[in-house]
Amino acid sequence: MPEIASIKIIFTVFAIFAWSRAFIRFQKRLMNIKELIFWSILWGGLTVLVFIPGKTDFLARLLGMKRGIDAMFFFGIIVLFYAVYRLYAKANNLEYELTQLVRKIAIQNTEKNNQPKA
Amino acid sequence: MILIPAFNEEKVIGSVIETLPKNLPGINTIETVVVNDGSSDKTAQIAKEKGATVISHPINRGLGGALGTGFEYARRNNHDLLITFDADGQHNAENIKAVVKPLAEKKADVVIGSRLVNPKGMPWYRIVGNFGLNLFTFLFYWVWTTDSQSGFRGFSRKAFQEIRIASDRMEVSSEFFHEIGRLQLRMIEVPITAIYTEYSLAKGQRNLNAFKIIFKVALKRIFPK
Repeated sequence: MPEIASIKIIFTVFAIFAWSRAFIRFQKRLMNIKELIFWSILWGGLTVLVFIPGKTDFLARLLGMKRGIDAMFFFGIIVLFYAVYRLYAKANNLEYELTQLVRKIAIQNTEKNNQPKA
Repeated sequence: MILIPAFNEEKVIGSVIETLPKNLPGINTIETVVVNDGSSDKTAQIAKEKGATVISHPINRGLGGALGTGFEYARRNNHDLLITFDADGQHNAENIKAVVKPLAEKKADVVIGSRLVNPKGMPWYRIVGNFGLNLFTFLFYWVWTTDSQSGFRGFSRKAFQEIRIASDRMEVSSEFFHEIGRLQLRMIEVPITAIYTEYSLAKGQRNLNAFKIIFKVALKRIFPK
């Protein structure tokens, strides 16, 4: 029996779990078939990739690093930074729109209350 | 129009409104508008009793949000001049004349009432904090002011028609200078005296807030919308 890195097993278990959540959403009609196919391909594909040896070495050499895993960390962190930035931008935008809404309501109420005086 | 953004100021809003001038040289009518920024106390009722127009935000949005609403109201009601004035009693209504004068004479688009021309009474740590923020305002917006955090400002019609406020909270003070720079508005400063009571000191900005403000403004500079 060949030695399999435990992280590959852990990831596979996680991938099955994540996919099952998508499947449940599909059963509850919260997700359509197209989305389910997308997620199935994604998690299935990732699981397959995890078992291919040396797949990140190419990346590592490109970046001038020794280990493929280092390259994965590097990209992972970049992706995280970008995701956080996008979240921050979204939150900011929401605050702005909320204020616009509150402003509209407030002014409408004031103008409504001022009518009878005129 | 005198714009007073207010959040839970029932203790002093009444007396603040009372001290406002009823007449000013060269001005036809003065409408006092209090933007009640989601107060949970009697701020709105008291302001209304004292004769102010009250615009109430259903929820609290912050100083910037309240000012933005006031600006919008001024545009919709065809006002000629807009003065912003604090609700906590830090500002002296006697200074309103001095702030209005350059606007009425068309000598400036924006008038900043500055406490630091004569910083008597300001606690030393606030003087230092304010100077830091002034420096920061200059570095980011190329506009020098001796009081970047002053809530006592005057705006000509052109100014309040064109200024766009997007900040919700206290970084709005810095945003005004961004707009002044962007729209090339003529700005002058007028000395004002601040009334420091235990109440107004507690309500004012803490120096620690300065870092939060600098962080927010820097972020907005790097990632505009």
